[in-house]
Amino acid sequence: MFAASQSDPNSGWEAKAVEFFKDHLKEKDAPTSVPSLNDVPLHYLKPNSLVKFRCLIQDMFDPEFYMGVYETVDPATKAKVLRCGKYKDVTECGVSRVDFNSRNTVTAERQTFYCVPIPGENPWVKEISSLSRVVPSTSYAPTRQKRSYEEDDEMDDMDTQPQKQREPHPGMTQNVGHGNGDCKRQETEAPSSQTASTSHLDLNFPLPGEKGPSCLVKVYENWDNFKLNDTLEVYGILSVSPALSALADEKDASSSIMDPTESMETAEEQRVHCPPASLVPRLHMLHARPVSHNNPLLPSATLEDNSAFLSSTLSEMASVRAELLTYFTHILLGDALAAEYLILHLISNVYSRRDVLPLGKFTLNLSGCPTASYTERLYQIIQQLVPSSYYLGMSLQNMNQMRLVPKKDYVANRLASGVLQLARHTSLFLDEIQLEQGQLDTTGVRNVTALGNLITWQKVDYDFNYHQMEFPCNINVLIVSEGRSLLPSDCQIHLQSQVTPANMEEYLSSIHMHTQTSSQLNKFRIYLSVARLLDYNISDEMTKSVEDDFVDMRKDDPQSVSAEDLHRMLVVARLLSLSLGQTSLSRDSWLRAKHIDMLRRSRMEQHKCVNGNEP
Amino acid sequence: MDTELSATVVVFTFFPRSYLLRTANKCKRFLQEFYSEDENGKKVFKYGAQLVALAHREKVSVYVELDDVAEEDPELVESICENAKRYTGLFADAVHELLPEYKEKDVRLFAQLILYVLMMEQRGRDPLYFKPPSTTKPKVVRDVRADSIGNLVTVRGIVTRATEVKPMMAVATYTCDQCGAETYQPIQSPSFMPLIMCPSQECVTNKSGGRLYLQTRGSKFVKFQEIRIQEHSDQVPVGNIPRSMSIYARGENTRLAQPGDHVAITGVFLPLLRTGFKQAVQGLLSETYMEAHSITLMNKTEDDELGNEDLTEEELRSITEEGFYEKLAGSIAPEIYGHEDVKKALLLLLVGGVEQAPKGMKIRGNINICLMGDPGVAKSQLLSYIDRLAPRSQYTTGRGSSGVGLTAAVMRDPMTGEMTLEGGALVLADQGICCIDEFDKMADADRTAIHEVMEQQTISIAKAGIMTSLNARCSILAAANPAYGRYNPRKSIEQNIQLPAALLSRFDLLWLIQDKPDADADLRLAQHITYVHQHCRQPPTHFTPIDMKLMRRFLAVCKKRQPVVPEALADYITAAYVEMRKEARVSKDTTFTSARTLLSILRLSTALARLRMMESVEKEDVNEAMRLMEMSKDSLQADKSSTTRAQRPADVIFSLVRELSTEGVAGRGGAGGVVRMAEAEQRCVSRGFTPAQFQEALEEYEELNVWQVNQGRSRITFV
Repeated sequence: MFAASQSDPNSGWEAKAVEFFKDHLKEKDAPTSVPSLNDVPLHYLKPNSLVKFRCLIQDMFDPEFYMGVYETVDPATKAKVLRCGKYKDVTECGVSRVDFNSRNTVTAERQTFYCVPIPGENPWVKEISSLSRVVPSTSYAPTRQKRSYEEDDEMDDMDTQPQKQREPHPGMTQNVGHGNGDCKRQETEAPSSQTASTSHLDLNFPLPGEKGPSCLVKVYENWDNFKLNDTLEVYGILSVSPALSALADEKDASSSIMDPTESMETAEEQRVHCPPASLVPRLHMLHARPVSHNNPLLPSATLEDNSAFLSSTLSEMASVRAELLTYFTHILLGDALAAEYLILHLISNVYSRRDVLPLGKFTLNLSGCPTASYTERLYQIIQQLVPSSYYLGMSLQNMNQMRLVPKKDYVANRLASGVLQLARHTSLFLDEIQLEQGQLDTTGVRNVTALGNLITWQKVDYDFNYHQMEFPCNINVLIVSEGRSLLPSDCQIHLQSQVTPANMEEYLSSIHMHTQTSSQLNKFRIYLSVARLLDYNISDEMTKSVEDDFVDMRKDDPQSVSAEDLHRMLVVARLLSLSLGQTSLSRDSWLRAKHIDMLRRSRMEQHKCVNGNEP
Repeated sequence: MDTELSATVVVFTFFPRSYLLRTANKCKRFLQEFYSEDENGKKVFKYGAQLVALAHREKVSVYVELDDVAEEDPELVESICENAKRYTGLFADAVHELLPEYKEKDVRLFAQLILYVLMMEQRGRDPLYFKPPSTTKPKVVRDVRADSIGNLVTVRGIVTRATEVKPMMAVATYTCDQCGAETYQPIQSPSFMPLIMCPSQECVTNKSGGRLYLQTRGSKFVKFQEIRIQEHSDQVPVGNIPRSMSIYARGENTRLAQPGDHVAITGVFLPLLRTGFKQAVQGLLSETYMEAHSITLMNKTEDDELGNEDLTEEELRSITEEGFYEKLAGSIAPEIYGHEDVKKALLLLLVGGVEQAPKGMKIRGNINICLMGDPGVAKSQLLSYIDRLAPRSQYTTGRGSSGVGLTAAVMRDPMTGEMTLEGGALVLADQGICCIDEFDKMADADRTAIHEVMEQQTISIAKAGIMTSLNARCSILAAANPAYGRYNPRKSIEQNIQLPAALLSRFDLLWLIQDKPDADADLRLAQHITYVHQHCRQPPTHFTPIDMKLMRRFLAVCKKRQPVVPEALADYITAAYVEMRKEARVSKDTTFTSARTLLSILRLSTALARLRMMESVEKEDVNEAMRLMEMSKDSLQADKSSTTRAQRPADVIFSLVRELSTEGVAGRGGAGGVVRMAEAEQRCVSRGFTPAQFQEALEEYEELNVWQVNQGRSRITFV
């Protein structure tokens, strides 16, 4: 690939090459023309081709030192050739040998990130993002698969010559689409290679039961800008050289007594850091784009850059909100207030942190849920609406056995993932109805504490054995429970069903059937994602009136309103405004926020009296 | 930062021969000629002595202190630091050449030694280690990058893994099956290719083709251990995973550290060269490791995070300027609004009083504070902030810890079966702060375990055959909820707190943080909260909070002071104490005014003096200490009156005047309890009361004998 530039390693071609790719990826269709590791199975991708990968940084390994430039000597002719080691895993020397003592060797540093697909990504996201690549006018002629491969080669060739201007190639997009469609069908036929091997190799996904490729991403520049749990779209060169796997095997076999250093790199560590490339491909990063949301329905560029889209959505917002409210009201057994709060919850977002205090979090506790099957249904509906979510049944067994908090495994030298290692904006659905009587053991207590910390501070303390490290997160937690949840929450609302369907099952399934057409659903999806990304501010006059209001409220009944309540009300007002597409707080929204908060409180009080189990 | 550097080139720089010779001579000269003068002016040849010891096999390694080298030749130090591996070899050569000269006595007497020494002379050098110049700063693992390859670097971290100590072949000895000659092969790398053909003169000339066999007994082995360290949690940027680094320790450096230890390691950062097939498949990557020259165990408290250097003049000035006390207090948990007095108390807790030990009786200097209050008044936040601010602290919750967990547990070591003591939170917080949240939720039996700690500052253990007393010189910061969830004004204080008197009296200060309605405070609170929501940051205050790191360093400096109470103040304090006792008797005080109170006042005043960086306590310190005491008591009692107080204007005016009087104590250092009439009236009028109301209140309270108004009606004196 870099043959042309190898003769002159210092010409700054590296920067140029990266620049070239960046420029191309800025073009409108370019990103879609690059095959994605997320949808295309690995064995359909050409090695050393440009691919993209939407992922979450799960772990960061120690930096690697590699030979940026090295010299090979042909044993026969003694001819010396300088070669470039960037974006490569293995030396290419053919018959010649690498001259390790050459003075021309340049050692450089790169960083390895272990990346996994975004945890909890819902099926509809995957579906849509893979669909968007297929050009409508395709016929599934199996014979064309061969051609597509050839053209892939072509494309690869083009990649290898960055100096030549690559023109947007209409055929290319098609090909990838084809390959994609074909693989989809074939994946079901031959799943053995993937699943069989994962059984002995833990790919370290945060959530149990996740599938998909994980990747070792090699970063060459600015690696300090990336943080753990960042979601990225990585564009890079795929490397699946079998030599990498050979390396791993070799190590195991040749552990000799004479070499005491061998024992340090345990077998587990080897397995983790050098897994077979067929399972965990290497990706040499050329360019990475932070993913602010993983909703494929939204343009991937930031909202500010896409004002047309923004204004069109904003204008629709109020109406979509009304529809969504009706929909939720229906689902929540006719409880409009709860539906309102559910919308607010779904668009909440930690927008800022003040020292330890996260602002904007809005954990909702939906109490008074009728049955277990109801909550599952509820989750299914939410799953349909948000890009990523996870259902955590808080059964005793789960709490006692699951690993919620990521833990550093010093034997394998990696961060063993846990359920709470989630990307931001993930909806975590805690089903407390599953909880039965019994005893929590040590793990259980720790897990519950971790959940509590997550809700109160929006942070997870990763366990590094000798100490703990705080990692801030941004997860929407929704707790459904019968009574008040044992976990803290920002806001609790008791479900008051207006309708009492004779047969709950039937009613629920009818809701599910009722599920809108996909265009409607898509509207909801866009709405929820956009509302979360909007900017928001409070004017000075509003601030003043809010302050006065607060003082007045305190005067009337000091016990009823505390600082925490004000915090919450401001968050509610914020979310309420945003849900209506307003980017600043208005008097109306504030009053409305106050109103619904009062309604909610009065309902809680009522409920307390009925229940009588609260002091 | 440009990380690309021809690092390998640095390691393998080939010196011109003449230069090499010159440098070798330099090394030799240094070893021979370096001396320091002892107090008698006699020359002490430091390295000469080491060489003698080495020659007599009394020592096995030489330590070269680069500080010494710097005295002779600063440039040489620089080159050593940059190319340490090569200079290790040069110095070792020099040592080797010099050794025979330093042999003073006949070692041949020791039969076994002869063989050994002979062997040593023939092959292999003695290990030589550099001690880094004291001026070098330890690096963070993260900052050791490609450009550090070949350099002598010092890193700090926590040991996460240490292998068994294994013998590593340093010199392989072979014997020939034909001629019996011994052949030696020095080994540098982790793996080696054994020799096969005998190179001896006899075999070569005879072409007998003698085979060599490895002699394990004749070979020289060194101890070898590999250690993995990981950077400290506070050196990791937010959102990153801590980095780690491999350390190779040989010889005397082995077995110095165990997993979990905090260490500072000096060594040479080197690429790991593989040979043979591995080199081929390894391809482009080169692993790196650090060859340890010295490993020092560190105590977490002496950690570098404080910064060893003293505060600069500028920093000192920025802290000790006008109103520094309020500023420092305000910098504690700036995101929590209000609670100035509580924060002041916490500041004093961080500084701590002076410990006294007259005639073996120890009086603690640490200040214990208990915060009580309604749920949601940011008690836990204050606690967690203190936990983060204090250089050494432990955070536990009452519900999550048992008495054993707090003090110490006797455990059976799974490996050896021995009984070992495992320190609990209080032991681990020795010389620091132990924050206990949800103090009230603790079981009574567990709570009694800390009685001893709070006064005697030790933990005595008598279990499973282990009888000992551990130091637990920690301040305790506890947070508790009132017994009924919320503070119930209809119940008495004892009922509300439900902590035994024995425990309560051990706290120097008890604060009841209550959510009390007050229009003014409410407005400020609302402003604060809305501002935070509006601008996503802290509202601008008249000061910028002091940076946590600076604060830590300042507190560390403060702690070094040992202020004393001057003779003159003793009377004042005793008088004040007697007064307090009297008051307590009269008002049926529910808190405990005992001898401990007196000690508390002393502790608080010394802490205040420390904060001012003074060597003696002044009257203001005592006054402020008493004010804090008073305020803490007030916080407990005020609400009692709140039930009866129906917010009559007279009552409000009274409290305003009282507030004014206490302010007088704090601010201008005037005598406590005296308020100028004009000032009081002005204050009341500014709060919206008519002068008539003020006069009315004045008379009413005078009748109640709460205060006295002097003849000229210009002064109000509190009784």
